Amino acid sequence: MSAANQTAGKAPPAGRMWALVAIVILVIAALATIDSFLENVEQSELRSQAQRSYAAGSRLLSVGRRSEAVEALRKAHALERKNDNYEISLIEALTAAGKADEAETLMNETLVREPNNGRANLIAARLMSKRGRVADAESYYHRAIYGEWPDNAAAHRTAARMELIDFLVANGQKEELLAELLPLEDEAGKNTSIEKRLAPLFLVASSPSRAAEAYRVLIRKDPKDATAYAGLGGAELELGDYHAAHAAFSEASHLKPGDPGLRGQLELSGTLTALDPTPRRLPSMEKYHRSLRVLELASGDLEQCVANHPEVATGKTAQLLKEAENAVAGPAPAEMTNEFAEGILELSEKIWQARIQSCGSSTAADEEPTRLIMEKLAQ
Amino acid sequence: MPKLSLRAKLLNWTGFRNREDQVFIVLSLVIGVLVGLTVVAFILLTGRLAARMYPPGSAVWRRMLVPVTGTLVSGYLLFRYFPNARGSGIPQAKFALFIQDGYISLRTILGKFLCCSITLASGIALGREGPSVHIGAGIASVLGRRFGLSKANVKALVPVGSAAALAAAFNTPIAAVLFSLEEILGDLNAPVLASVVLGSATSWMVLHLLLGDQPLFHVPAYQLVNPLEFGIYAILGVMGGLGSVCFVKLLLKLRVWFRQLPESTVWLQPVAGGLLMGLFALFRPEVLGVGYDYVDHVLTGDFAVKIVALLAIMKIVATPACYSSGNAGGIFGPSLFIGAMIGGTVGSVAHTLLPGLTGNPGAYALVGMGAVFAGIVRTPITSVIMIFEMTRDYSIIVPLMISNLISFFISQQMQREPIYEALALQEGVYLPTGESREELAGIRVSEVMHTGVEPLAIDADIDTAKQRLVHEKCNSWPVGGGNGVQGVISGHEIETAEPPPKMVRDLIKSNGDYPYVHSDHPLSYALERMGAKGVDVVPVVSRANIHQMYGVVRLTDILATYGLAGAQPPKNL
Repeated sequence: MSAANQTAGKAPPAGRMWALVAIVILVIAALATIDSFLENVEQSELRSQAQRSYAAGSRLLSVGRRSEAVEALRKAHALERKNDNYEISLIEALTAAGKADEAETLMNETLVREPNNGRANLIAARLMSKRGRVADAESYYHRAIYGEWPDNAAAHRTAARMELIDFLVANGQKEELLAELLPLEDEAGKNTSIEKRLAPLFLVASSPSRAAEAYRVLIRKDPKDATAYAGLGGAELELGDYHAAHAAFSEASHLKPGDPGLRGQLELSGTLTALDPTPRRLPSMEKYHRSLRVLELASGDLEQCVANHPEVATGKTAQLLKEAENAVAGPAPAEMTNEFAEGILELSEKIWQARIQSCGSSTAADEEPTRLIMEKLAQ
Repeated sequence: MPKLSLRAKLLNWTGFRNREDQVFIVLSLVIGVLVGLTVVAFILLTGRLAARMYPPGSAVWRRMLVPVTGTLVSGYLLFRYFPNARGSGIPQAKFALFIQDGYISLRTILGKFLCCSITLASGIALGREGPSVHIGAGIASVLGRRFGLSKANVKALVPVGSAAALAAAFNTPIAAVLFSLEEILGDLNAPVLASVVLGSATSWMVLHLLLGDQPLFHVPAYQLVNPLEFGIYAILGVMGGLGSVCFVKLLLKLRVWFRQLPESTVWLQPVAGGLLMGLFALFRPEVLGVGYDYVDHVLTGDFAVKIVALLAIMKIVATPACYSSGNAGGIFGPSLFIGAMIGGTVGSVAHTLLPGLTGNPGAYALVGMGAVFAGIVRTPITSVIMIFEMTRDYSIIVPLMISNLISFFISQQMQREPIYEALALQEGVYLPTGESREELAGIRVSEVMHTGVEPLAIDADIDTAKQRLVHEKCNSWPVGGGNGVQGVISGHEIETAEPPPKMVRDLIKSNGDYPYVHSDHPLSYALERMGAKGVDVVPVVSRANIHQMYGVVRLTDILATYGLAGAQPPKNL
């Protein structure tokens, strides 16, 4: 400035100078007022426009018009960037619309800003789940569960955990599933709907005893609940208490007559009750006969397996089948002891193992009795 | 030594020794505040008016009627009341700086504010930043004059106002400073740097107080997927450069054409731009206005390539038409829009062809903005910093520099004259360009100095000295002895010294205060030294020893280098 200051200007008189200063101050004040007014008008208009776009986007998303929803929500987000709700909804819509890259980028920005936001973490978990990144998804689900929720936090956390549970079920992660189910037990006591969801999940998590207990609780609360009786029957089947399972299925059938599923389960539990060679006070002869029937079923399943897949037939399978045939055809010992039955059951287990090795795990309904009996014997 | 008061000490320390300096520095702050408030009002008002012109879901006919009506009204106002408020505002600010001693009238400021508000709200494809710069420079000029600053200081306030305006308009305080120095002043080392920074920072703070801390554009975090992408960014630089050249050439040609039309049609000419805008907007409403909303959308990378390519072409045609027809509005905003569209197109095509090797097309749109801006406005440094400030994404800098420099180079090769200088030239005004200043500053003393010359002996008598001056055909010559150069004597000194000297030694001061230059000094510096000491020859001396003379540089040689071979130096030298 000094370099440019070659010719001094003519300074206004002091009075005029102060008048000028006053005018400048007044102009600044006036402009600040105008700016504030205009800013308020703009904010208010943009907010209401954003709200409209958000409402439209949410509506479109709920009816499955995802691309249009993305556009509407994108507009809402652009109009009011400070609104996390709009941003998270946009991420949700982008995820639903298959725009995973953009959703992930936006999500990362949101999480950098709001790392503990429960909803944002839940959306992130869904996105990761969609992208098949199981470990990341689990991690985000946990952050969602322990994250911050502005209102009704307990319900949101439970819902997030339930979603995680569904995710774990879908991915066959039984151990992790059980770990997530246990914290929900307390919650379940207050909420019957959660309790009803929880009971069958214990079965999926390979914890039939907890499942049975959960069903008993449900039955205590509503003795007319056929589904609970059916669930209890299923849990008892897994536990190997076929008698109790049959009783539960009978009660369920009584409460819900004509249900074909229940009828099938009732028949199965009846069959198993009649087949089960393990009850303690079963007479040795009866145990022997039941063991022979189990052996017949097991060897029948292996024969069927070999017939369907001749390539799996080996000398060992033939040898086992021959032994089974001899055991079934042979005369009953004159003096019956439990050891005879145990020997037959041992052979049955070998045959069943051969069946599994040759044709894989059993899923066929007609093999269900054998499978359950064998599982019980293996315990 | 007299004891100084605290105030005097403070003034000495700050260097603000006189009233002008004090007023100047205070005015830099006041300008920052005032310009910040005015530009915020301008942006908000324009935005709200535009929202009323085009409410959500409005009828298609508005897209035709509003631009035509807007340009008609503003065209008449510009013709009848505010003829100096036409155009962008950048050339006008430069006119004021270089030709009118920093003078911009209050009427022009008001006219610019009013007419641009109408024009931009009606959806014309022009930007708000250029007008903001004009308004800012105008406010600075008015304040400087009203507070009685010298013409030189009023001039010096123009870049302060410009920087303050740009800082508020773009939310880019550093780029605003650079732009003011790089484009408005054409000198990155200008002595007003401190005031420009002060104005820009103050204005930016006002903007933040009023509107909060939101960047102009929101971009997803950039990631380089593969080094191959640098090649694609280079291609983008080429496309940006070509786009810039098309834009500038079309704008200049259309401007020439409009200027040839009869004077009586001047008030109606802006409507031509409005009409074209309306026609384009019937097909693609995104082309309306400055288009920052759509740019923001494109930066997300979610767009249809055909649409963005079409919009780039439309804007390259629409903006020159609107500008050249005499509407008030700038080309900053449109250049960013065009850049985003070209970048989006290149990025999208690259992503389709090489999906695993390229990033989000939005990143290309972002880099494209900088590339086209650098190509059109020809301020590559400002462009890089501006995009960085707008997006606050440091990782984009390297691709941005690659594209910017390529675009800048292509634009410079295919369109020699920068747009603002070319526009000024059409008005018959020769503005100093940054390049011309650099060229002149680039000539060194070493290129014109005479070597192998001897200084006049210090123990020679005055008659010998007079004969030597006649022999050398100049009015001054270095004087030396056993210790090398001791001074410079001039014919004027010989004639006017009292008592009349007998020996050369009598004219030489013992304090070594004589004019000299070094061989690596620019010629302009040699001229300054000659002017300051009233001599037409200065010795060229060693940097290690100022008494060791390498040669001399003469005024006539300097004038000849600047193309004034026949010019004679003033007689009083």
